[in-house]
Amino acid sequence: MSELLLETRELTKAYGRQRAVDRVSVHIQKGAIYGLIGRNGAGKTTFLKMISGLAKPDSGALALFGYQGQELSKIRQRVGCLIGGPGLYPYLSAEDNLNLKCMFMGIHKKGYVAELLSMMGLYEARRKKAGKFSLGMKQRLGIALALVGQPDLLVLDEPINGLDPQGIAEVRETLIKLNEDHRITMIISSHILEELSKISTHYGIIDHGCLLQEISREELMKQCGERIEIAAEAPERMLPFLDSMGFHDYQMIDGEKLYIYERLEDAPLVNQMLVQHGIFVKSVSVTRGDLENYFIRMTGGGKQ
Amino acid sequence: MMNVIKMDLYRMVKQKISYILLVALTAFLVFSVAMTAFLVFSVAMTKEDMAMTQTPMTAEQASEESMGNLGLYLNVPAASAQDVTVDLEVFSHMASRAPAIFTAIFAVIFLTADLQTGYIKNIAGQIEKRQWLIYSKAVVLAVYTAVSFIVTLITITLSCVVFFGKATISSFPKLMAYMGGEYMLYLAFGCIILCLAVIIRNHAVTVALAICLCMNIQLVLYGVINSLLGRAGVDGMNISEYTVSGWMSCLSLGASAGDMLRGIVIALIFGAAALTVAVIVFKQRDI
Repeated sequence: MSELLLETRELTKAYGRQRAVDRVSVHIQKGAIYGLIGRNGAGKTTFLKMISGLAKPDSGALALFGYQGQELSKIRQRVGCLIGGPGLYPYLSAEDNLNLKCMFMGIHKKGYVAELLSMMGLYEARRKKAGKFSLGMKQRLGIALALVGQPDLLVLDEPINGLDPQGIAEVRETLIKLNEDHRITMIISSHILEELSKISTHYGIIDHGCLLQEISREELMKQCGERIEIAAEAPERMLPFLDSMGFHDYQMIDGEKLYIYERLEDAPLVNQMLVQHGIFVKSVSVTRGDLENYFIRMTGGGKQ
Repeated sequence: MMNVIKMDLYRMVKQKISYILLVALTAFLVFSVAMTAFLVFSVAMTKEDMAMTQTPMTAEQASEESMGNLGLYLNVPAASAQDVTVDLEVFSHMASRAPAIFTAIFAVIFLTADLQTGYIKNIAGQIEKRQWLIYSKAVVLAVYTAVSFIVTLITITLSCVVFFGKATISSFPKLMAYMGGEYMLYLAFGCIILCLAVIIRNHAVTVALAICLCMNIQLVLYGVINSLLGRAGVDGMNISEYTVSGWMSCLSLGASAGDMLRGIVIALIFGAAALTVAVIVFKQRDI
């Protein structure tokens, strides 16, 4: 099991009487891409600010790279962040905005800024004032700023906001490449759940400041992915027949249903086989669940 | 912390506002010296006129007038063109606190640009000690104030050559000592404005406040304090003499070592206090 890179315990932050983050405990493994899902005002940005050192928690603990408390200041340079929109000097060029960050980090390598700009598709616009950039270009420059210093942890708050489909795809590919080639761990919050599902390895669902669930990609796909749903009397009787047909990825639900997560095209065969063996089948269907419905189900009635 | 200072100095060099303010300061100084020349030369002094005019104001009187009145007072204590020297012009401008407006605008607009634009989010989380961001700004302010003083000296010298036909420095050591004392006071004033900018977080309000401070609007408050002190049995005390803005006018050419030391101590106390308050507020605040 991969080591934990980031762990929070009962992290809490209140603004006045409003608890923006309420006893959130997350566990993020090294090398993971952690998708933080939550609607507007759920507490995602506040939580990410605390991770990034931009806000102090009122209570709780935060352990980052094995460091805690006062010691966190020693390793803060290993965290890059893009929170609440890109912060840029509008009257300076993209190149100068990055040069400033490089100076701050003590980076003097020739061509470093050019490399970052090329990675984010901004090399041609390097001398253009950041204030004249489109929203998508500003977003990409913000990501480039977060990447200065090759951080081990990248905290991205809605990084694909304002990007066109091509831009979204490019950023997605860049983030996947950074994760695979450089083992950069990422925490990404987004409303575009479909996009998050293409990249995240783990998810945290947050609502009204509380963490409702932490779940891996595999588990989430099982819970809201495509499957054959079979409702039958005594569904446990189906198991030997499913084994004989070569099914391995299935799950009993509530003692009444069986979900099969593979070979969806064999649903009619399964139905035929069960009926032939005298198992009373109430219903057989192929369900296409989706992340959005799962999220709405998780948070729609959630009152904290 | 050196990296933070390098970053802020690089930004100071790259941004236009730094040069715009220096150009504006230069233009103001040239205009001001030109007006001095106009006033001095336009009074055609005959023996009868000289007998009827008042005795020319001394430098100390000019200081007192600037310190004790609302508004910006630029008095060049010279009766004729012969008496106008670079020292007097520098003194009259510094004592008027008018150049401090440019220092204040720099402190507000440039030094808090990272807060206003949100660039601070890229760095505040990654810095080992957040107070370094404030100290770095104070260093940049010190550099900029020094540059503005050099520009002031050069501009006034050249303007004197242009408008008076000569640029005489009565005593270079005294002028340097005076400018050194004023530099500390101007720097402290800039730190106070920086502190206000960090606390208030509104450019317009802070710049307006800075201009009011240059124009001695706090005199009203000082008057109340002096009156209260008088009622409490502390007679003859003028609170202006213990403030940065007061000493910016009070310090005179040829000031004694005691006065110079007093001015510097006041500058150090207020400057340090302002930076301390700015650091405390900045560290506690969420970005």
